[in-house]
Amino acid sequence: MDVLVCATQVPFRPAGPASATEDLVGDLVGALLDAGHRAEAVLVPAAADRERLLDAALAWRLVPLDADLVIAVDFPAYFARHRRKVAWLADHHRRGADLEADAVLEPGPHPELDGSWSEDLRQVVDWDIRALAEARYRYAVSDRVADRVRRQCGLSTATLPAPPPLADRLAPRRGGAGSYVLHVARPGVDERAGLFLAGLAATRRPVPGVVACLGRSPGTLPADAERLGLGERLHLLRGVRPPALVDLFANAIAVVHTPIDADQAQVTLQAFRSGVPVVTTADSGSVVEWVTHEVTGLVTDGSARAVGAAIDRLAADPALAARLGAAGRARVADLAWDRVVGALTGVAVR
Amino acid sequence: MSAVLALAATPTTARRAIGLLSVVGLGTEVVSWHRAFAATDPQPTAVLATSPDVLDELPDVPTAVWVDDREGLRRALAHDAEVAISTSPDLVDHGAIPVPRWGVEVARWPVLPPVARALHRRQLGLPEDLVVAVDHPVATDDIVTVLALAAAAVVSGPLLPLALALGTPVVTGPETARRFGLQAGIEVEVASGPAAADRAARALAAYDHGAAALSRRGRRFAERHLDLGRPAELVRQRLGLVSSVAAGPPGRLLARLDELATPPDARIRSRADAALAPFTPSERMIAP
Repeated sequence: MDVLVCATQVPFRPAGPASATEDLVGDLVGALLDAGHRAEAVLVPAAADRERLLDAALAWRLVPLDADLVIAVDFPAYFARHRRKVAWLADHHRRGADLEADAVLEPGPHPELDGSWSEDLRQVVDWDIRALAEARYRYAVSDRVADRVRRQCGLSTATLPAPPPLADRLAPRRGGAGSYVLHVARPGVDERAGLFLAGLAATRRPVPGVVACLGRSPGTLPADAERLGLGERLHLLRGVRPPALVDLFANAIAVVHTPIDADQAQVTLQAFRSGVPVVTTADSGSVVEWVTHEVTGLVTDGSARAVGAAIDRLAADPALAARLGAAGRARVADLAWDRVVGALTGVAVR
Repeated sequence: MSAVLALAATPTTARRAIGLLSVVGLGTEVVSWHRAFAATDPQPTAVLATSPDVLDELPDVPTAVWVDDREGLRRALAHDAEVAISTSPDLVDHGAIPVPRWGVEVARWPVLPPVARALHRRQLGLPEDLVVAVDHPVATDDIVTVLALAAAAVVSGPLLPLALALGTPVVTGPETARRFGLQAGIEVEVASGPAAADRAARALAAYDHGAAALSRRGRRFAERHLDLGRPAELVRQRLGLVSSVAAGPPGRLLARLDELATPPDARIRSRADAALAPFTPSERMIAP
């Protein structure tokens, strides 16, 4: 069948690797083609400011989408109008607006809330409800995104995780123990590399660390590493191309993945695919949906001391690291693109 | 010069037409029909009659008439009334336009999902779990505000349609739910007695997912079953009171805004108007 994958374009994005959503769109189109469908991505830019927040949503209502099935993966692409629309939400962020919408539902003081935004919020949520309610099926890539749709829109949404980038190439190393702890720094994503460095500095053993920067600029990491006295223990790799990650993951003792409230857990899924355990924090969002403490990794309280202790444990006990890594790999064994394609296209052939 | 819509009513049937008249009469001059119109009085261009009993006295202009039974429908047809209106489902099958017995002009009330209510409450310093009980017969500004802000509301009176249109998570009694055709746990929560209703409303206020789902379904119920706007639009069309409908790209854009139930004063409508402005100065864009 003819399938259009609808998503938001980000023009003039700083040079570097694709965003998680861009990866997802590319991989989904590829998987649809592999499954024998005709598939293309349709991308429309969207504005981030409140004034123009709904412009692209309205534009999507008028975009002619002549296909058997439309799969929308983000805001405002799910405003696409099609008799067979499936929403598969990689995120439910409404750039610049969503964090505040989330915050409204959390107890406690919220000084960041801007009073002038009440009507905008009301309008955005009402439109969201109507556009998402049109979808024949609603999926989200994580429980966290699905829960947000339920809380804000009152719409049931099933979780359908995406396999991570390089999923079919990532594999466990052939025997032996890992030789460093790995942190992957993606541009534009707050992965809390600083916490990784501080955790590394807090270890009792001189465990080597590797930061794989997918972008060109490592930011303040070199200065931070020097300040923490990490010296030659830290290897900062700049401009790492995704294929190089295959070996980096495979030879790691553990991966430290500690984003703040992440909607997706791609790095964690890549680590699991490689049979490597993950050290994370309790506030890392969807990462914690995958990392079960003492089962597939170690969940810390987010302090440098706790992250350091977790690294120490895994470095000192290769058998523990191997056991957790194997459990992680088993945990993601079912993640496959043919399953995703089957779920998303099943609606069109029923 | 705007159209003149006359209301022709009997003393016992006038009240039921108020809600519908307020919507049908939008953009027209609404007058009360009486037999002895002075020459200076505005002459009606259409009439809304609340009973077939007044049909004999009316001028020869397009007329909508409220009917209650088949005899009324027969009399409406005999008088060549343009349209019959009824709350009786039986008569709808015979051509009458259905009007909800307890209706609300849904488009007039922008829905406030729980997340938007929570923001308003926070800005106003109101309790996060604000629960109210409303059994008032009339929607005053205060009552509308309360219903718009509440995390959940116990509503037992005629303002239930308004509460649902506003997206208020509602708890009501079993009799009221039955009367409106509302399903317990789907569009409303149902509880018997004030204490149980209060407990149910507090539980609802504390349950994000449930409140959001109830709000959404309640609003949809109001749009589908309690809306006066749709029958009013049909009546306006049949009476010739509809002025013009935008055609072409502007019409499609407006249709998209309408299908998302966008309020008239929404910012996005202004932005759509601004985007179309260079292309819509010509009368050719507007179809009669």
